[in-house]
Amino acid sequence: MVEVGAICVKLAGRDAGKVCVVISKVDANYVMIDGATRKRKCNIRHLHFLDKSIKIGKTTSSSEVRVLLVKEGFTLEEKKKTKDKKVKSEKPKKKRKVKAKKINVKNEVKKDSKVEIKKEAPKKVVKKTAKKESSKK
Amino acid sequence: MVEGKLRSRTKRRVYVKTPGGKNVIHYRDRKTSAPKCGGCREILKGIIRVKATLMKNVNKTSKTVSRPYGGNLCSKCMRKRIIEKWLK
Repeated sequence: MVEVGAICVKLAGRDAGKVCVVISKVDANYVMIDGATRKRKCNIRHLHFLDKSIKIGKTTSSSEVRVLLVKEGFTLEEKKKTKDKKVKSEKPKKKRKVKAKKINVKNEVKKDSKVEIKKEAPKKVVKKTAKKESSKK
Repeated sequence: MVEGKLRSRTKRRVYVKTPGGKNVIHYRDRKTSAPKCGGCREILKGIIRVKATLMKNVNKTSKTVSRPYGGNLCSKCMRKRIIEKWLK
């Protein structure tokens, strides 16, 4: 029968070829494993048992199991760290076309011209009044 | 008379019946040989079967199996190799 703490190699799936330890029994056919593999339930038929074992309690964490396996002389691959997200550079914004500026300039000129006309208008009135005064005389 | 390249048997012939009632021959590519295990020469499962030239257009998941030696060895041969490694 399988004992808790037995060292074995996984034979099936993406963790195949990696070393692991039996943490606890689930069933007559299934055990919980941990170590270089992910911590998971596994069929006994998917394990190749080596003739070695480690003393493991119920509270040993997965990092402690890895340390114990290294002490036994197994070389484990380091777990891949999640990469830091890259800071995105700001997207270049579209600049407004130069034509739009020209239109603004034209509007300003028109406004100025209107003002000039208004200024001229009262002058004419003055002239007329002057003529009227002269006619009366 | 069809083109010279179609007169050889490099392409397979498919007989198609048109809506007008004619029987027409269509020329199609033959199936390529299936990828096989490097150990036992068994046909590998889960790997796409297309021309080598079209393999570059296929995504990675359909070309491999997520397992060590996936896409090269069958599962039985892979297990043998792993056990042999640990017996040494």
